[in-house]
Amino acid sequence: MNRRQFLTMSAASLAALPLLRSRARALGVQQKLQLMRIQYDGAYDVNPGALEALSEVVRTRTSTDTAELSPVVPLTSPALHDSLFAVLAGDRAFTLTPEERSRLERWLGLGGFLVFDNAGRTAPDMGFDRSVRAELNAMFPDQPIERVSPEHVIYRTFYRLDYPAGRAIFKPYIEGVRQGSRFAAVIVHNDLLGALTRDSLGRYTQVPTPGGENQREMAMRFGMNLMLYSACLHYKDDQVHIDFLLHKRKWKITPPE
Amino acid sequence: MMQLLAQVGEPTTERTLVFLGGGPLWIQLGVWLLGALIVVLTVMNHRRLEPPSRRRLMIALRAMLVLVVLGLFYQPACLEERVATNKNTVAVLVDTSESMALPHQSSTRSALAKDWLARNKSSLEDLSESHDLLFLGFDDVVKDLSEDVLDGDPQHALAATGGESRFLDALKDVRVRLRNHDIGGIVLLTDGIDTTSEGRRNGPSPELASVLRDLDAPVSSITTAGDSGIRDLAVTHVGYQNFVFLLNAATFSATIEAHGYPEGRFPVRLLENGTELGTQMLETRPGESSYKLDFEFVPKTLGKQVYTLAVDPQPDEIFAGNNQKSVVVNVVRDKIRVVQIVGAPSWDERHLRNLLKENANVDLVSFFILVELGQPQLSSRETSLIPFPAKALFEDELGGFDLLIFQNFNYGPFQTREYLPLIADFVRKGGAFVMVGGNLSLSAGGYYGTEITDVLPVEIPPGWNQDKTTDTEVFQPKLTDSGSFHPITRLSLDPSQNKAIWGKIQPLEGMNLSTRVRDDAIVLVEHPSLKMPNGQPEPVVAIREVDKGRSMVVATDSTWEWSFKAGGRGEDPTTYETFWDNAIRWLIKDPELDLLKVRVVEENVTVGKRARALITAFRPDYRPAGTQPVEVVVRRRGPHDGRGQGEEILRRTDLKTDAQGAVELEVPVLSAGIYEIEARADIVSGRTTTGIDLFVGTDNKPELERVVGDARLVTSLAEATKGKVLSFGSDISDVPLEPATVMRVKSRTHSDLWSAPWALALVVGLFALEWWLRRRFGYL
Repeated sequence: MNRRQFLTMSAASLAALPLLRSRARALGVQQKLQLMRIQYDGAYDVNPGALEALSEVVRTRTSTDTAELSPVVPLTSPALHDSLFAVLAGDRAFTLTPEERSRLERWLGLGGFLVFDNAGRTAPDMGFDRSVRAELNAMFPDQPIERVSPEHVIYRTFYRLDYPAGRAIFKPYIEGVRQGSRFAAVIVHNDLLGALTRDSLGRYTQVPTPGGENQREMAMRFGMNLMLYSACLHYKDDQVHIDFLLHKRKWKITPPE
Repeated sequence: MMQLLAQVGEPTTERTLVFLGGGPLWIQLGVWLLGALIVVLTVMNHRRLEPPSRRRLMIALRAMLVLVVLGLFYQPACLEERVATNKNTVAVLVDTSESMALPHQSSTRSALAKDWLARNKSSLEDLSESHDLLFLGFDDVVKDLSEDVLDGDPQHALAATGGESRFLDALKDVRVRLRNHDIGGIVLLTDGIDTTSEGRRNGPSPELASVLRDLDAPVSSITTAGDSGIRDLAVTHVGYQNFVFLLNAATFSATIEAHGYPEGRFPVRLLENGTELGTQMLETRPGESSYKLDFEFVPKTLGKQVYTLAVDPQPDEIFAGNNQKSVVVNVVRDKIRVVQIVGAPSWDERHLRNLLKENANVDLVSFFILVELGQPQLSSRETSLIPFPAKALFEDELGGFDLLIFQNFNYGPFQTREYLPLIADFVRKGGAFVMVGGNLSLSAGGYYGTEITDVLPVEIPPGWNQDKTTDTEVFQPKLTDSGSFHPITRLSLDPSQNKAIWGKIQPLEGMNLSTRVRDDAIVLVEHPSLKMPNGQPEPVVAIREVDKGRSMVVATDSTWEWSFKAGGRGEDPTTYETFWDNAIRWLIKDPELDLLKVRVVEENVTVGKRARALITAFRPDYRPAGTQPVEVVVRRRGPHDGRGQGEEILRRTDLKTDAQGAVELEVPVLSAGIYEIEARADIVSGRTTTGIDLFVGTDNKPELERVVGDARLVTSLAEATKGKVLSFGSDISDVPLEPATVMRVKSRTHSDLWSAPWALALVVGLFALEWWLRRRFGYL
């Protein structure tokens, strides 16, 4: 981002302040949607500030009331169950302890949605990728890791998208593991948080390649879709059939007198 | 009754000579050879003995001795038997079931049976000299008959009044009565109709086959069964589901038996509460008597309904009382249609939507407001946003839904203000409405002073200021006394366990404040410390019956924590699901949750008997309504009569429930028809609560469902036992019977002859005689 862009953004933010200030606040801090970063024995803190940026853009562009801060939460912490959305980012191999794995599995089973974000610099880090697969296989041995179809609602939750943009475009797809009809965990290969990471002054620190700022915007959108998928699940699938659903019942019930 | 066990003569003793010895053949041969050798040697030794008479005497003595010894070798013994000779028994079973009263040609079936007995009286009396005769009547019980059934039955013991015909039970009875006797034969005088499953089988059941084996006697039938001259149409069976879904196609499958109509067309009708729904033509064909017709129908009214399958009676059929069959079917709601309108994505909305979506009984339509007023405009090409269809939803389609949920939804930005009266109207007319709290709900959503608040269970503070209309602290929700009984907050059927669950339930965070609970509302869960201006605890969950509908407020958006956070703590995560499932059931008025229930004990009651019903009453908080006055009206509906219509046959205004909230009622059923029992009670102030149930008074008797015997059963009995199937024109002499006299050994003993003293004396005597003669003759 250059200076002009930064000033423009700041002015727009100031102009939006009255609207933001008048916005209703959640009834309790826990009722705001938190974007958690999973802490583990590894490079969990890559791309700092990215989740805060994502949280902010969700808050400003949608009706979703997100928390300003994105807590870093160990898997063994009770705070894990404060939110249903979390990101486990990294750029090298890692191994979860049995307790961590067990807690994560329970969190996912109860409804949590986890994004594994591969922050490899020049290519998706194979160590991180292998570790993710190993952990998912250990937690869900009966569930294969599958590609998420471009038709999947994740690509339509808010924005209509064709590909999962990140800081890079190493792979045009994401993969995931299902729990029932929903994806409980997805693997993003394109360093999503790398496109959103900011310094303490709020400046983006990395330039997405090859698409630059446009690509950053697309990464932002993809991150928003992931976040809203965790909150709305397959709501958008129903919207396609809304007319049918609305008019399905052509009659009115006459209840017993 | 003819005396059983009459015997021919007194017991006699029979003696028989038997031989107990001998042994293998080679030993016998050896012994005989030895004996022969001795005799030959004796002959040779005495061949020069003179005079010849002396020679013959000595040889004869020796031969006699050898023969005696040979005889003793075979160990002769005397077998003594005490023998008695018994007659076997012939059982004559006369069918006395009600179907025997039906006409047959110019007589009745029962009269034919009596005539047969009278006509064969002397033959039967002759038979009794060599057989014992047992006369029994059978229908659904077996009874003894006296001999005067042969004299025209002056005591009417053969009156055809029995309610059922049970051949298997009758034969079992015969087996028990004659278990120590020989049976010469069984003769059935019957129309061949069995009202149990035996009557519909091709071949005897394993149980019947076993009984026939035990009886071990020919079973013959004198019957009208198989007579092609009988004409009858009967609805013998209706296949149906006890419950069907409203406005979903369901099927009745009718089995119709047609006898004596080889080629005809007969209308078969389906009626609902006496009103015809449809007609099909039954086309009969030669050689066939059983037909199946399926009727598909779509029920349009909830609750119990009476459906009747009927075939038009014919003027020449033997019996028209079996031409229809009625069944009671419960029409239940199909899927519950729910509209969920969400003001903003949240974990609370996520959980409720997921719950509703996963419920196979719920048809869910959701609308999420994903963008707020004032946020940057977004291109519809780039996003998947669609306009909120307020008009279509609230004006056109709302009446087609069962439950409307406003989940943290503020109506203001979306031009829905004009529709709020329609929502209130929707509730008053029977719909259900839930307002779930949050930062955009209740007062914070701007609902103060709108028509919506008229139907809510609480009154809300004015203004939008969240500081005055909401609280953001964590709190432990508290179950109220009413909540202890109410099905919504019944997380366990066990009251003490329910209390325990609520005592340690996951705390909630934040709530929307109220100013007052409406007089006719009930608070189920309250805040432990916050108070309304009137000093009452702030309600967290409150409900209300509004005219014909129901409403609920859940003044927080954190109930999702009962699932996700509770599960994270290792506690039961299903509390959330149970609470909301219970809430939905109550809101849509699940009949199981009615405050006043009427349940008939039997749905089909025979005319002349009394129908029984149990009436139970609950207070609005679902505590049993003890000593509650209940008014009951019983009506017999006519054709086209609906709920609350028909001839009033009973009214009770003096009933009161007991301490458990229950009262029983008996209703005399004097004629066939559809009966409605309606109970009324003033349980909810300002409104009369009613409960209703139906039953069918029927004069259909199992015995008269099928009135034409098809001879399958009597034929299979005859084939299995080497009996015969004969008409009433036959005689007893045509009936195969086992031979009369049967000898039985009463006792048996044997005494050994070979070891008797006289046998030994004979041997010794013969030796001694020979020795004396030898000495006398000078041979020694």
